[in-house]
Amino acid sequence: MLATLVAVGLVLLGAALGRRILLLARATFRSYLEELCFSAGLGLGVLSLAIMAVGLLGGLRSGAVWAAALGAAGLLVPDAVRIVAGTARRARRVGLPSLKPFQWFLVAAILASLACGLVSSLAPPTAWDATTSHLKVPFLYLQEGAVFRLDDIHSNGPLNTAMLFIPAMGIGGDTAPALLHLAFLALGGLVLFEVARQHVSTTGALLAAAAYFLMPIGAMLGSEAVVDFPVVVYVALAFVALLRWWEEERPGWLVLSAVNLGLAMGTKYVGLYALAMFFAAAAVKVLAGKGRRLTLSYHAAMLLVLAVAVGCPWYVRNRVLTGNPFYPVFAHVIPTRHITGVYTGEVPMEFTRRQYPSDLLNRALLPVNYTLGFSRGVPGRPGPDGAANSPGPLFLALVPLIVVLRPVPRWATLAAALLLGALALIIPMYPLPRYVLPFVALCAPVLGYVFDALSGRAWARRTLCAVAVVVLLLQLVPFAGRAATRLRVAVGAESRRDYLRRVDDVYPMAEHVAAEGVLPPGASVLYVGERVYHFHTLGVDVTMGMPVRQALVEFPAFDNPAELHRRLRQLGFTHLVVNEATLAKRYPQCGLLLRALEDVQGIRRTESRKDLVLYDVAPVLGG
Amino acid sequence: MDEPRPLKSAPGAARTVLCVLWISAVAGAYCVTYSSSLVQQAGRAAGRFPLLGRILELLHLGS
Repeated sequence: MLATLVAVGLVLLGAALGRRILLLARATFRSYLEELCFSAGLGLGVLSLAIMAVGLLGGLRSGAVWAAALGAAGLLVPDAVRIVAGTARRARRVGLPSLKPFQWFLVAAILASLACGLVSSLAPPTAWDATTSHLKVPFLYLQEGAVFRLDDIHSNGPLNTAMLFIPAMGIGGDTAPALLHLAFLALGGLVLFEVARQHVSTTGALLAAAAYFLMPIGAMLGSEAVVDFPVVVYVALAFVALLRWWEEERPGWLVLSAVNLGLAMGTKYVGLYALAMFFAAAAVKVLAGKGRRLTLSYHAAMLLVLAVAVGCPWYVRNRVLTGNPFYPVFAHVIPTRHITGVYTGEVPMEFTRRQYPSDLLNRALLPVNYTLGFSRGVPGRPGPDGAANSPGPLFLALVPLIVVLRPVPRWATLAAALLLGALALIIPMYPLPRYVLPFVALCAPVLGYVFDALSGRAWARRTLCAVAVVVLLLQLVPFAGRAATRLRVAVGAESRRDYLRRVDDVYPMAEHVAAEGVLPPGASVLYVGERVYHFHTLGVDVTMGMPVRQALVEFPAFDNPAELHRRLRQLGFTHLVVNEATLAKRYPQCGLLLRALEDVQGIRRTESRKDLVLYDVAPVLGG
Repeated sequence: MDEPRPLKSAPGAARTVLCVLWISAVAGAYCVTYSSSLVQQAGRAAGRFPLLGRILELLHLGS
């Protein structure tokens, strides 16, 4: 309950702050919903930058800072109340609209997916990404009271959303960040629905929203404490503002687009691709604007400068701390500190990097492969889970059809062009559907447009409705499945501890090492397994050391167990927790090295829980 | 808002048929692959359907 209140409170305060800024800037919007979406996105972005500033100054645990934050929040409460009252008033005015059965179905499917997402978010976090970095890093910042350099690859990226997780976790516990992320998913849906509502019919807009809310990848990520949907929100808002600038040529819209692009850049590296493509789109407009090219050139330059100004703080921090603004990317060309030999290219990588097959046929079939699950981009290992990680078949079925429909509106062309650009630029380097998600989501309104275009004939409309009903019902399955496994703990019928013991392989060992007397004072544990658990209540994070990937990319740098032992001691590790099953399955070379280290008495097995084995690291090498 | 929004030039009958066929084919293929994935997962969980798993593997649908 507290976690939900904290997440809702943060969004409301963000919306209130953003609305104040937009009122000061005298921004005007086409609808109340549009204003609300821009306010919430901007306010949450500004909030994250403010927390970053406080964190860099080391004030995250300062009483004065918290008092000032509470005071500022108090000042925003009247605005937040006005937003709630305004929304309620408008909802009452609209009342229960006379929706048709298919529209009711779409609304019900959206609400069902959100309800399932809410239940799933209330369970203790166990996802790899969330526990390894998105919760662990802000938790350590909160513990230290400052944003400081961690020996952790994940702590040197753009961390805007992690900054929002700090107050969310500090007040609402470890489920609040997932709820906040779910709020971002909902906000993204509202932005896209509003875009669609302004350009297509109500049914088309609802279908677009349903396709977005029920994306299978949304079931996987939406209810986790990750940072994918904040990027979707910022890119969608930047897109709306860019469209408006395209139509009205008022520089204010480009400022708003740039700010949102900057916030996307500060949230995830994918934001850099968005900036590049939005700038390219602005350049096209400049070239097309005969007679006004000089003015429009200024606008495009402003987009670039302002977005970089808003998005650069994390990149500057990376540059200062590691020498590489894009850490750990480009470490093989930019001299980088605090990084392993594998990233710099000095040591061959032991495990296969995920890469989409480069042959022409696979490239052409990429959207089909990703949607239908023929490949997840792992050479030689096509898998059905691609279907579970995809944006869903409605995007693939409807969006490409704008090629054969006339007329194609400018906004639809722009959305499709941005998606094509993203596929061409991002997939060869990062072949996972989640990296192109912000650009796929932009095409949701296009989907509504195609539906409208084909609905001119009654038989086609009926067929499309039937297809949509079947597909959306199937897409609800993963939402319902996740919620079903988490329902008991979400409603309090099962304790957090019992839930974690049941579903989590790391928890039993972490619980064990957290118990008093198991580890000597000052012990430092390196966990070598699938992920690091974030134990908000146990406070085990610090003792659990660094994430496995970092350890594993380090391991191949050692030729023999003695070198590995020296490095472990150098890093201060006194204990190892090893997931033996994971090592045997995925990184056998690392497993062999550890066996060799055990043979020469560099490590000694002391305890085991499930697949996890606890080792002592010998102060000096035996044997 | 009007339902549906009229286009300046609605697609012809042949084009509409092709579009609807494409949509149905994609949706149908997704339903088959995703359902088979669900069945396979359930089967794996229950230790059953080894033959189904083998067939899906041959079709490159299995993991």
